[in-house]
Amino acid sequence: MIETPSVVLKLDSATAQYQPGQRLSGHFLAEGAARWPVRSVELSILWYTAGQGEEDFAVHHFERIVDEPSRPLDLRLPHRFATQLPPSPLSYDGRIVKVCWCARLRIFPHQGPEVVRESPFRLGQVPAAPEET
Amino acid sequence: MAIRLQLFVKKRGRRRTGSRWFGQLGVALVDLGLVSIGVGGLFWLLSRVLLVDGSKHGWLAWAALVIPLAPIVYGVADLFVFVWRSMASTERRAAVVQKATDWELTGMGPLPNRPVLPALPPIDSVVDSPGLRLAYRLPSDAASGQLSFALATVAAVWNTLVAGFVIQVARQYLAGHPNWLLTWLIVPFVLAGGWTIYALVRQLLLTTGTGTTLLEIADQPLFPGRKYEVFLSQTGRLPVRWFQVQLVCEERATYQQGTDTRTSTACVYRETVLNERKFEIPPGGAFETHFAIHVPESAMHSFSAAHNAVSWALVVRGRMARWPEFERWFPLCVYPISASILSAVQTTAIPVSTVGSEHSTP
Repeated sequence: MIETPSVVLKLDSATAQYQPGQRLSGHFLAEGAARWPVRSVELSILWYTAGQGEEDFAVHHFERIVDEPSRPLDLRLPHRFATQLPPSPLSYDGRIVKVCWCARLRIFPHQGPEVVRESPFRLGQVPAAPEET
Repeated sequence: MAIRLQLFVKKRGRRRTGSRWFGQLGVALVDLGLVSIGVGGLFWLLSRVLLVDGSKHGWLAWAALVIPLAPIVYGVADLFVFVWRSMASTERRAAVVQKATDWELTGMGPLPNRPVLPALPPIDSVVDSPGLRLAYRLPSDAASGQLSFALATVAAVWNTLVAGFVIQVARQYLAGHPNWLLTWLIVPFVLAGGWTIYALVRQLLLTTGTGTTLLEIADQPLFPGRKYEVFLSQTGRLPVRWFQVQLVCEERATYQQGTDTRTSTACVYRETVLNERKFEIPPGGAFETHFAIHVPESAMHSFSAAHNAVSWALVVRGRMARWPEFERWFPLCVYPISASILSAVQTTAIPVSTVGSEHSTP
């Protein structure tokens, strides 16, 4: 049985702080000597809500890479991604509503459960809501 | 720890105490059952009733085909959704939906209520009414009208039903055979009917008696860190005890609790921008004033999603003599400051690799 290798999902910005319209870029790879057989990989740049309400979310950027005989998917090689961030919604840490942005990587191996990695980042500079008005 | 098969488990919000796999299997089995029942019923209806040699049926009999077809359509549709959910990840499904909603049908043109920016409320509803003094007249929140309509409906339905029983009781009295049990049983229902009429009249008087409030604003949408001129007109022909206008930002979250849908709100910003006390509105006239509002630089923009929202509004509150307090909400649209810099906001992604992959950027 093949052991699940360590998966790296990294954004190029060290601060993980972005402004609307700015270009977000990064890469992902799986560390290991042997090739990890995977069916496909999905990379999404998305926002989701947290807090008291049910979760809302929307995908801003989505790419799916499939393992094909003509083009085998080798995750040992770094895969780069990039997108221009939208003007809204901005990251927000409210009292009962929070808006969070992240890059999410979902790997579907040939064997075993799917692997999910997330790399959060902030869009805009809206400060957290005060505790009480 | 040994795994126990729990037949009856308590649902705790979004957390599940039962197996997800068993749940999905159950849904699939129910769908297959519905399809089987529908197919069986359809076969029976056609072979034994409608297509029997020598039988003639009207359109009503053929319309009975709807009965077996309904579970077939429901079961097949739900099975399709089930298979799609099992095959595709949440993000992939969301990307497909996003792509589909971005399609513009030929000849249809852009949707009038479509938000210009992602996750922001549509601005069309707040800019479609020009003002007389300033650029835009702010629409009032429809909650008061909806409450009046709901109260009127409840009062009409309830009192119609109760009236039927009251007539029955009155007839028995007139016939000389009074039914005392029914008479006493009906008393609380009559009282409740009276309360619905009282509540309706009070709501109507409150809506109409305190006069109309008109708000106009110099610009829309609003941006954080900027000042805007506002014009207010209040009619009423009444002595006013106190009168306030507040700039309010409210968070709203909708969630499931058991089988109930609940909504929580939290006010994260409230600033009184106009405060007047003890004045009179002359007969046939109106209290009119100009004032300015300043949207804080650190403000979160308006945000609108299916279950979560951040809303800005001007709230007019006051108390007229001999009337209870009133409160009227006028929604505002606050856009992120970046929206004023990024024109039109038609961002496009820059896919890095396109071979052997699918990309989607709404």
